[in-house]
Amino acid sequence: MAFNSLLTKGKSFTALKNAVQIQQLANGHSVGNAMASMTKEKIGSREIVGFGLNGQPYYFDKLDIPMPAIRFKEITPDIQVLREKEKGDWKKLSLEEKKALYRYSFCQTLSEIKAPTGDWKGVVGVSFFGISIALWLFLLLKLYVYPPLPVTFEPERQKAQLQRMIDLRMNPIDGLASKWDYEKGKWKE
Amino acid sequence: MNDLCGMDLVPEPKIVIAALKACRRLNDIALAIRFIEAVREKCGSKQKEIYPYILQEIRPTLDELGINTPEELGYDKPELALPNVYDVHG
Repeated sequence: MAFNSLLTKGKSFTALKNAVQIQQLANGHSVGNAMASMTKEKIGSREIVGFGLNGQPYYFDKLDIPMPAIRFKEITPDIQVLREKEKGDWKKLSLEEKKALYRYSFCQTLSEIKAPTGDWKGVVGVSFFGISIALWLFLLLKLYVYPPLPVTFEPERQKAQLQRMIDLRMNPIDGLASKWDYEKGKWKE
Repeated sequence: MNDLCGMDLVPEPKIVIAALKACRRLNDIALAIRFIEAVREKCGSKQKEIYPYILQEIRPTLDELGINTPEELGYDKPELALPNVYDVHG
């Protein structure tokens, strides 16, 4: 069961820990670990085959964790026949049987995981819809809710304010008054 | 094996052969096919250069154990995925 330890010969401690954990999960009576037996009920009769992502016996298809901890389908009599055949010579299995065995252990092939799903179109559509609602609310607020701007925003008033700023020599070094040429009475070139 | 796929490298043919032999000991051909697919993914952007080389190196083991590559099984194209909407009406 602990085939991970066969391949990672250098990491003996983690391999031992994984092996112990797998044995515990597979046996069902993990010491003081009620979660393991609860998940065992949830996964039905699917065989636990390895460590997977974090030791929990859940199935998921991920490109970077290609071998999940449990098989995909539950044990049925037809699969049992194929599994017995698998113990013999693999050359005797036909292509269809190999495919059936693959689909028994895994839900999607890696290229199916990578295949484009078109989810992004729904997401973009809904977000555009939300943005349009926000814009509509803004327009309605501007039309009906906000009072009119005060009278000081009119162009003549703004010109008078600018003239006052120049007369008071505001920000004479780097700012407004430094841009006004006081001898000639117009903006500096 | 998941750790091996997690590392930032493409496994050497020797390692792939050892993994396939381990799958044989466990009587699990689905795992062997999955591992070859995972090796193909690990090649990343240089798939056309690295993957044929690895296949060529492990070809004797594949023939000896009777494992088919994912291409022979038709698993390099998504088999059961939804068709691309632009291809539906040709």
